Amino acid sequence: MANKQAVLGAGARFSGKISNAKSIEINGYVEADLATEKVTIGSTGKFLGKVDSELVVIAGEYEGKMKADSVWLTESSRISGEVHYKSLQMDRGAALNCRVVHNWNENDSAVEEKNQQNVDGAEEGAEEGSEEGQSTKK
Amino acid sequence: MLGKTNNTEADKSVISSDMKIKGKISADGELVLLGSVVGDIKCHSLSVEGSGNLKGNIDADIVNVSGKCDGQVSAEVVSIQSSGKISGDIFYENISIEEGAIVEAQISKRKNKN
Repeated sequence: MANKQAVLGAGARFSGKISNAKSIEINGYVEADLATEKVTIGSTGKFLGKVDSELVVIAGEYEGKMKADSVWLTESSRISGEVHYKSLQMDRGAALNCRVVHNWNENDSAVEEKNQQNVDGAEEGAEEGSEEGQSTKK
Repeated sequence: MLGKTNNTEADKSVISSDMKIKGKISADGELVLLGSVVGDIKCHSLSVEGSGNLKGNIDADIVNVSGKCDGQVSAEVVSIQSSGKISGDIFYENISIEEGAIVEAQISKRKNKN
């Protein structure tokens, strides 16, 4: 039995908080916030809550906000909520009812927001002087 | 417990050694605890391994402890291994304590359910 592999069996129910897990397989019902490297939600599994992981494989049901580098939604998966991903694979039959966002990288979105602010700031700065203009480095 | 044996692998849950859990767990099958759990556990059979650490109550049919437990244990069969450490209360129908085990608990026999 592998030490690092955590499993929640088909009949298991869990609600609470999971932390520090490397790899987890869920075949039961879990209501939790999870930060890990690899998550597998089996076909009998149901997960409700936030997931922050490098690799997510879903064959069961998921509801919540997911942030993952690599996401694989298999044909039996059912997703609702939000998926932020870098790379996504979806099989025919996967049922999605969610918001799907590519490239959740916070730095990138922060830069985008800043640029947007800079545009606004430049317009206001022209009228109001240098106060807003300081953040505009162009 | 009909049909339990056919399906033990699917019903088995493992909390790995690097894992920390806060909350309630209930399972129909077997639960192996290698990590640390704060919360109550209800299942058929629970085994707290050497690296396992539990703070909470146990309600199970079979409990095997070679790690640390703190709380109320209620089970048909309780076995505490030499590396086991238990504090709290123990309600058992059948108990075994290996030499070397550290038990600081109120131990009492409960009546058979049937």
